[in-house]
Amino acid sequence: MFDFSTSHFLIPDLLLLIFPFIVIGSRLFCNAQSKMPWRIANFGFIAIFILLNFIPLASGEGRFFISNWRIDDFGVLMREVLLVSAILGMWFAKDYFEHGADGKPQMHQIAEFIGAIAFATFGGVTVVSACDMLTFFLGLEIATIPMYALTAWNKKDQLGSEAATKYILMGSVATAFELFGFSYLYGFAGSLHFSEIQTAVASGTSPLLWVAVLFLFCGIGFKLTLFPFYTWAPDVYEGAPTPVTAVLSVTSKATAIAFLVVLVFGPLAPIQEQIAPLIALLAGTTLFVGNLGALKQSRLRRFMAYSSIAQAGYIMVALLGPAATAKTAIIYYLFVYAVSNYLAFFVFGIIGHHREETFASLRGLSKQNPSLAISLAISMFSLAGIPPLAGFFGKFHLFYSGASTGHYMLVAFAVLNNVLALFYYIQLIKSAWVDEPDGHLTPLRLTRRQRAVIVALSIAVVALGFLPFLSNNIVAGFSF
Amino acid sequence: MTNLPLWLIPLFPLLGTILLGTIAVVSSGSKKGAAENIVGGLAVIFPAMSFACVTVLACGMPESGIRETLCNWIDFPLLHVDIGFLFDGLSRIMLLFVTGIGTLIALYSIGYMHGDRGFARFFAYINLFLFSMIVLVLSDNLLLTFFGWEGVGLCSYLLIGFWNKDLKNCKAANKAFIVNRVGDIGFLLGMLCLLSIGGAAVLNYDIFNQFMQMILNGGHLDLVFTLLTLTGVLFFVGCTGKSAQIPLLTWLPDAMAGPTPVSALIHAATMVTSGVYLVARMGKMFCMLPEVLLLIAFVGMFTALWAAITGLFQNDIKKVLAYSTISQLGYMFMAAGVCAFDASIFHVFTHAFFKAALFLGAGAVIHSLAGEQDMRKMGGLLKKTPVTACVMIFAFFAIVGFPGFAGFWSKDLILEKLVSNGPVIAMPFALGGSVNVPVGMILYVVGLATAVITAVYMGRLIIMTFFGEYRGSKESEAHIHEAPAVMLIPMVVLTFGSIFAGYLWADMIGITFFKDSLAAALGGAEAVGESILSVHHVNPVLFAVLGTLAALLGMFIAWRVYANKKIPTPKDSGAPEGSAAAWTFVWDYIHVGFVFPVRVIAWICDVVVDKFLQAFQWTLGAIGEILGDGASTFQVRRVRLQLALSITGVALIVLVALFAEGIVGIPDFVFKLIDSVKSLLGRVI
Amino acid sequence: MNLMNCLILAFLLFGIGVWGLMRRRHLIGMLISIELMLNAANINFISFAYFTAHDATAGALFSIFVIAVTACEMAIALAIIVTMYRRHKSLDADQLRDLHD
Repeated sequence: MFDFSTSHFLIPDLLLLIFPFIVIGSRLFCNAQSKMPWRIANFGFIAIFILLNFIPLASGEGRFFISNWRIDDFGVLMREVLLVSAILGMWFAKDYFEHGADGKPQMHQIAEFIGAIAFATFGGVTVVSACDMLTFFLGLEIATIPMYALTAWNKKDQLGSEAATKYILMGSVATAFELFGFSYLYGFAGSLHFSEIQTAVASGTSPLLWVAVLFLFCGIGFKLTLFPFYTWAPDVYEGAPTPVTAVLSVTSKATAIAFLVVLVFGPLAPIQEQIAPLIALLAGTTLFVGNLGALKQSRLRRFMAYSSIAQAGYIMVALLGPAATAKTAIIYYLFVYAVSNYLAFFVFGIIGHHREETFASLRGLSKQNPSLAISLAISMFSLAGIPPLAGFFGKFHLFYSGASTGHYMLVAFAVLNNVLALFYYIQLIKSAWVDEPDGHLTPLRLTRRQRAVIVALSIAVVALGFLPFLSNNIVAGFSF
Repeated sequence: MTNLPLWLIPLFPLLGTILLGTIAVVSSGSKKGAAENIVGGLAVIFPAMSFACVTVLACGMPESGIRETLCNWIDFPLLHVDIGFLFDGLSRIMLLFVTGIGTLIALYSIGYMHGDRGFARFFAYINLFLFSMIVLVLSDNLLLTFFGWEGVGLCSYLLIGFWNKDLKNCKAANKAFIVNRVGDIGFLLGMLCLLSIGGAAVLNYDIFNQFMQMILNGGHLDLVFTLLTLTGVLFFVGCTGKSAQIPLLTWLPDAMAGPTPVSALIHAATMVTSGVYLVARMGKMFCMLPEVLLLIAFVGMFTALWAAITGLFQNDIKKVLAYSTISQLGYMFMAAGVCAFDASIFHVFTHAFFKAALFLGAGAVIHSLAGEQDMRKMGGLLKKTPVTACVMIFAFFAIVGFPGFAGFWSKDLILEKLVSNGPVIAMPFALGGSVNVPVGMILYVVGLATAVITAVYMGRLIIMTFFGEYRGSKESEAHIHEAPAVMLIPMVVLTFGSIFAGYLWADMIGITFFKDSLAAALGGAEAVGESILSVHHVNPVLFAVLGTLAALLGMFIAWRVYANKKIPTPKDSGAPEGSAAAWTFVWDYIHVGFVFPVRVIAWICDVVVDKFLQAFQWTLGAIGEILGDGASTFQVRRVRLQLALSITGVALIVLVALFAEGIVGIPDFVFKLIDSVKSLLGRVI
Repeated sequence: MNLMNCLILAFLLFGIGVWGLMRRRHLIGMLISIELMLNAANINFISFAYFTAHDATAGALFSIFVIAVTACEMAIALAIIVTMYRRHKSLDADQLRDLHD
C-alpha cells in the first residue's frame, strides 16, 4: 500500500484527462472489430477509481495551479460517484452497442462513446475542483457538451435526433442564463476567485447579487431538471439511447448538484440562510411535480425521467442543512441513487432489447425471469426509500440535513410526497409481479455480463444501506 | 503471535457461510447435490480456523483484554457506533467453547446429515450461526451484540425449520422466532432506556462500566434508580426470550424439531446461554439493582423447578433434554440473581460440554434407530451401541452432579453461592410488623430439590434408553448400529470435557483458575454486588456432601421407579400422554391468553378502523390522480412551448422572490432599473 | 457612457434573445437568439471589467473563453441540427413532436 501525500492527489485527475485521448487514439492502431479500446477503457476507469480510493479523507485539501484547483473530501467522494457512474454507463453501453435495442439501429464506435463519457466525467471533476468561476463554468460546459453529442449518437434514429435538438436548445438557454448570472456575480465581487467572492458577499449584499443568484439558480435548474425547467427531461430521456439516458440521469445530475453544493457552501455560504427560501421553494415544487408527473406515465424511460426529477427535489432538500451534514448526505445519496438508478436502467435495457419499453412489457416478469423481477423490485424499493435498503438511509440523511436547520415543514412535505412516490414505484413492481403474463411478449435472454452486473448492483443496493464506508475513504479508511 | 487481529475470528465463519451458501445455491439445481466430502471439509475448516485464532489469542491475552475498532458503523450526530471488538476474560471463555464445540458439532454433523438433500445449506446455516454468535460475544457494544443476537435468532429459525417440507417443523420455527421477538423487544427497549439515561456512548461496554461506576461512586443512584430498574427488567425480558425462561420458555421444547446437532449447538450449548452472557456482561448495572436481581433469581428458580418437573413426563428423548436445558439455564440465572456471575458463567461452560455430549448421544441413538425419538420404543441399547451409551452415561453423571464430574463442581458452586450471597429481605406484613425472609435459603432448598428431580428424570432417560429390553419392532432391531467414527470422535471429546471441565474451578481442592480468569471482567460487578448483599462465608464441603446426596437420592428414586416398571406401549405421538401431562403446556395456554386480546384488537382494526383508513386513502388517492393528470398536461410536445413554460417559470420565481421576505432589496433594484430605462427612453425621445 | 447604460444594453439584448427564442420557429433562428443571450453576458463581463472590477483582466479573459466555448457548443448544435434535418427534412422547431407519452 503506497503512501499518498497531498502532492499526489492530482494524479487521478491527470490520468482521467489523458485517458479519453488514449481510448480514442487506440482506435487508430487496431481494426474496427478489435476489443482493445474496450479493454483499455475498462482498465483505465477501474484503475483510476482504485487510485482515488487511496486518497485518505480528512487529510486537508490539495491546491494546485495557482490555487485554482482544489481537491478536498467532497471532491474526492464526488469523483468516486462520477467514476462509478462512468464505469456502469460504459458496461451498459457495451451490450447496447452489440445488440441494438429499443427497435433502434445499432450504434457504432464504442471507443468514441467511452471517450465522450470520460470527457463528461472530467467535466464533473472540474466542477468539484474549481476555485474560480472560469474553471467552474468550463467544467460545467465540459460536462454538458459531450452529453449533447451522446444524445444524438444514433444518427439514424429519428427520436434520438429530436431529443438531441431539444436538449441542446434547452441546454444552451441554461448556459446563457448561468453565464448571465456569472457576469453579475463578477460585477458584484469584482473578481472571479471564490474566496474573494465569498469575502465580498460576506461584507454586504446588493441587488446585483440577488439577480446573479436568481439567474444562476435558473440556469442550473435546467440542468438539474428542477421545476419549472424540467420540461425537456422526459423527452430527452425517452429519445436518447438507453445507456445515454442512464449516464444522463446520474453523471449529469451529479455534476449539477455538485455545482450547487460548491456554489452554496462556497462563495454564497454567507447568504445561505437568505437563499434558503428559494432552495426550499425549488425543492418542494420539484419533488411534488416530479412525483405527480410520474403517476400517469406508461413508458418506462419517461417514468424514470419523472422519478429522477423527483429525486433531484429530494436532494435539494439537503442543501438547506449545514455544510458538513449536507455534503455527507448528498454524497451518500448520490452513491445510492447512482447504484439504484443504474440497476433499474440495466433491467429496462434488457427488457428494451426484446420488447417495447412500456409498463405492459413487464407483465409476468416474476414468472418468466424471477431474478430480473427481484432486481427491479430492489431498485424500485430503494428509490422509494423502503427501510432495509440503501435508499432509505440516503433519504434519511437528506431529510436530516434539511431538518437540522429547522425546515420541518419542507421535510414533512417531502416525506408525505414519498408516499406518492411509493405509489408509482409500487405500480411498476405490481406490473412485474402481480399482472398476468402476456403470451405475446418475446422472451428475455441475459448475457453473462448482464447477469453479473445485475446481481452485483442488487447486492450493492442492499449492502450500501449498512456499510460504513462514508466515514472514511474505502481503502484508506479501514484500520486494518 | 498475539497480534492477530480480532476480526479474523468472525471472518472465517462468514467466509464459510458465503462459500457454502454459494455452493448450496449453485448445486440446488443439480440432481445429486454438491460432493459431501468437500462441503463437509469446508464446513469444519472454517470454524476450526476460528477456534485456532481464539486459542492463540486466548493464550496471549493481557489481563485487561484486547480492544479493537474495525471501522465506523453508524455515524449520526446523535448516535455514533463503531464496529468494535472486545476480547476479555468473559468473551474469551465464551468464544473458546462456542468455536470449539461449534467445530466438534460441525464434524459430528457430517455423519449425522449424511445423504440429506440440503447438506450444503445446513452447513451454510451452521457457519452463519457461528458468525452471529461470535459477533454477539465479541462485540464491544450493545448494538453490535444486538446484531448478533438477531443473527442467532434468525439462524435458529432457519435451522429449526430446516426440514421445511413438514408443516410441523415450520410451525415450530415460527413459534421460536415469534416468541424470541417478544424478548427482543425487551432488549431493544432496554437499549432505548439506557440511551435515555446515559446517551449513545453508553452502548459501549467499557463506557457502560465506567458510567455505572460513576453513578455508584458519585451516589447518583437515587436519581436514575427507577429508570435503571426498568432498564434492567427490560434487558432481563430480552434474556428470558433467548434463554427460554419463564414466561417465554415454550419455544425451546418445540425447537427440537430441528436436526439434533442443531439442538446440541444452538438450543443447548451456545445460543440459549447468550442471555446469561448478557446478564454477566452488564453485571455492573444489575449488581446495583437488588429488586431486579431478586426477580432474576426467582424467575431462575421457578424455571429450574418447573422445567425439571415437566421433564419427568416427556417421552421424546430430545424433549427431555430440552426441558433439562431450560432447568439448567434456570440454575444459571439463579446464580446471576445473587451476583455470582462467575459461577453462572462457569455453569454455562460446563453445561455446554455435558449437554452437547448428551444431545450428540441422543442424536447418535436417533441415528442408529433410523429417526425414532420416542423413548418408549427404545431400551437395551447399552449392548448394541456401547460407545454412545458410555458417552451418555458419563454426561449423565456430569449433569446430576456426581462427585468429580463437571456438573458437580459448577452446580454445587451455584448452590453454595445461593446461600452465601442470598439476601435476607424484610417482608412487611399487611397488619404491621415484618419478618426476615432468608431468600438465599429458599433458593437453595428449591435448587437442591431440583437437583434431585434432575437426577430422577435423567435417570429415567438413561434407563429407558439403554437398559431393559428393546421395545421397538423386530425388523428395526436388526438395523441398529453404532454411529460412524466421524460422529463418535466429537462425542468422546465432549465426554472428556464433561468429566474434566469442572476442575478448572474446583474450590475444594484449591483450583480457582476459572474464577481468576474472569476476575478482570466480572470482579468489579461482583464486589459491588457482594457489598450490597452482605455475604457470609459458608463451608463448601457441606454443600458438596448435600449435593452429592441429592444426586444419589435422585438416581435411587429413578432406579426404583423406572428400572422395573412396565412401560406403556406408545401411541403415535411422542408427546406426553393424557390429562396427566397436559399441564406441561400451561405456559402455552397463558401465551394464548395474552394473544387473545391482541386478536380482538386486530379484528377491530381490521373491520372498523381499516375501513375508515381505506376511505381516507381512496380520497387522497383520487386527489393524487387528479393532480397527476394536471401535472401531465404540462407535457407539451413543442419545444418552443416547453421553453415558454420554463421562462414563465423564471418570471414566476422572480415574482415570488420579489414578494418573499427572504430576498430583500430586489424591489429597490427594479425601481432603479425602471427609472434608468425611463431616463434612457427620455433621452432617446 | 456609463456602467448602467452598458448593463441595460446587455439586459435588453438578453431579453431580445429570449423573445426571439420563443417567437422563432426556425431552428437556426433559435440558435442565433441563444447567441444573442450569450453575447449579452459577454457585454456584461466586459463592462464590469472596464468600469468597476479590481481584477479587470479576469473579466476580459472570461469573455474570450465564453466565445470559445460557445463556438464548441454551436458546432455541436449545428451538427445535431444537420442530422435532424436529414431525418425530418425540415428545420421547423414545431415539427419536433414525435416524442410524447
